[in-house]
Amino acid sequence: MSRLDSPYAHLMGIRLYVDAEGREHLLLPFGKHLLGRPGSLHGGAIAGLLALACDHAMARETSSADAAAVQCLTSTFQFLRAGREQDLRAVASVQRGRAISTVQAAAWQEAEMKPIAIVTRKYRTGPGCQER
Amino acid sequence: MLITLLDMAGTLAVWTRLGHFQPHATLDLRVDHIEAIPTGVEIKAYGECYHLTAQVAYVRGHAYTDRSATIASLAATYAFTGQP
Repeated sequence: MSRLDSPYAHLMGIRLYVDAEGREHLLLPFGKHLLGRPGSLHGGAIAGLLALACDHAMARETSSADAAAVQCLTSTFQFLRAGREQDLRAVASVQRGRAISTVQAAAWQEAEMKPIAIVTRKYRTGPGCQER
Repeated sequence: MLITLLDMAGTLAVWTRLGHFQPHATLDLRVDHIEAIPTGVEIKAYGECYHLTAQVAYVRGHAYTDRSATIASLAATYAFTGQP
């Protein structure tokens, strides 16, 4: 499962950022390599950050012994606005369930209240979740 | 990374069906993660644009390897935007 210390996170330049209220965000610093076409971020770059934000939040909720067993089952991305040539931030929240957990994340640039994309991911977290 | 690949496959499927480049934005992108993503092997992705209107393109697709027919499946919707 992708984490902040993964080669993918390094490749993208994604890092952890703690705001004034102590809340964890992921930060994807802007670079030209993230553009899908002139002036707009590639949807995959946005989705990659959102997916990593969910994985990170899920890992925070899970003991290290269970972490290897956590599996992402589905991802649903909704793109709300074009991503501009700016840094992108994402924050995720976890709704823990007995067997299935739901993680939602939003990515924004100018203002947190104006997300450019959101995602809902389902994770299998219950006992025996390594079987498929 | 997998999602970027699937998004790109979906995008190319739209342009292939259109027969030309036309800028569009991803509206919705749904992925079912069928198998754990393998490491050390090439992952390929296939997209099919199964419906097209003047404003919107609907795509389904999947990611696969030489060993596995489907590691993830895709359903995506793209909206055509104005100027490139």
